[in-house]
Amino acid sequence: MAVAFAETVNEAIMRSEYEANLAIERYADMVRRICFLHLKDRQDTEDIFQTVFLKYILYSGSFENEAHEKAWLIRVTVNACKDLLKGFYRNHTTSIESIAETAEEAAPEHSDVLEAVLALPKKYKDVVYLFYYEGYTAGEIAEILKKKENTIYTLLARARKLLKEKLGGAEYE
Amino acid sequence: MNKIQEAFAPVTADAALKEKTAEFLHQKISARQKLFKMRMRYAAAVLVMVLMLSGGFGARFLFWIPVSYIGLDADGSVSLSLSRMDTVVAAEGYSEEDIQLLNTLNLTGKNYTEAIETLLQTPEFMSESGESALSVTVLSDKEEELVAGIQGCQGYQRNSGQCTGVDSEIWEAAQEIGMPAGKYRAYQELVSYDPTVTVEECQNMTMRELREKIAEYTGESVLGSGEHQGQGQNQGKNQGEGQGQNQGKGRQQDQGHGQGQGQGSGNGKGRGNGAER
Repeated sequence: MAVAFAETVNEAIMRSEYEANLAIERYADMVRRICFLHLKDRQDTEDIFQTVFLKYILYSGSFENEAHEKAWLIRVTVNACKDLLKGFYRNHTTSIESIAETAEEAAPEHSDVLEAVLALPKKYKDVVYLFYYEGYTAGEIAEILKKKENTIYTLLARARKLLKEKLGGAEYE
Repeated sequence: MNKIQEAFAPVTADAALKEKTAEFLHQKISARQKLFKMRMRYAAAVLVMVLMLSGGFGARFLFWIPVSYIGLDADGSVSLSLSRMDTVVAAEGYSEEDIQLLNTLNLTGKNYTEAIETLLQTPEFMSESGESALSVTVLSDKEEELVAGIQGCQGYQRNSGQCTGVDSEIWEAAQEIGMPAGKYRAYQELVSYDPTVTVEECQNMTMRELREKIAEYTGESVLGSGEHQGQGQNQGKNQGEGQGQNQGKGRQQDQGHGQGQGQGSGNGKGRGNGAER
């Protein structure tokens, strides 16, 4: 009975449909980009969207501000992608050709950059995206991904080196 | 804007993906809301049940929890347990005959005065000729009210009963040896005169027989010793008879216990018993 009561209370404080739609409008592109880093399949992306936003409406905690909410969604999305890939590694490994194809489809003008990022080892992708696209500092990324700041610096350095090798130029310093 | 920002900028969630997600959430939210409503209904039903049960408990507290006890001893011995509303919630007999009698009378649920009237009109419990001795004991926090109610019963008045309150110690002590409180007190009195008397002997005696036994030592009238039967009328008689008998008894006791005791108990009981009982 206590469990049922707790569930009832949880349901009572569940986020409304309005809040859910607002979150989709605000964060769908960001979630899509994180999915894009890891997933090739459209169906997998849809699954991640449903998982992430369902977790969002069921989350009983409160967000201090929009930045906190955004960081929470990033972490949930990254973890959801990792969880999905854990079970289906063989079916979801991406070949170089398919990466190029995906990059070409998504952003024809910058397909080389996308291709280079997508070709990075998994552990570098989120760090690169968060640092270069979202503009987070190494400390913030460490907090979001629950890693040590020094680890983030190391990952960034190695990712930069790989990108530089592939794309050339000093932009990734 | 750096190259990575430029490259990732076109990667967006299309409208179909957003709509599909929104639709999925809509279904989940609706389902949860339905479940929530069902749970609320369930919680309301549980609440109503709890209220009903607590109401039932209140009713039980008022109507079925015994709070007062009345012991009646005549030819039979019965104790009645009364609720806060003064209705009989249990009637207990102390012998096979008493239990059978109670089964036929069905006193449970009756007001205590009605139950006592019924009991006192039953020849198996108390003879119609008035030869039975009746003792009524009351254990209650509203003893005076119950005693007054019992004294108002026709059967009580007709049979010259004794009705007194007892404390819980006496009541429990009596229950422990399987006796109603009235008979227990008579047993205690009898034992003070004759220590050889056993509980079993007293259990098998009627109240009249017990009083007769006691009267052998006190010299009092068996039926005329009641508190409510006109003390003036009986005192003269009791004193005369008591003195004569007790002196004799005193001498008997003197053989064993000495003269002082014999005299003391002879005088004291001659007077005291007439008033107490």
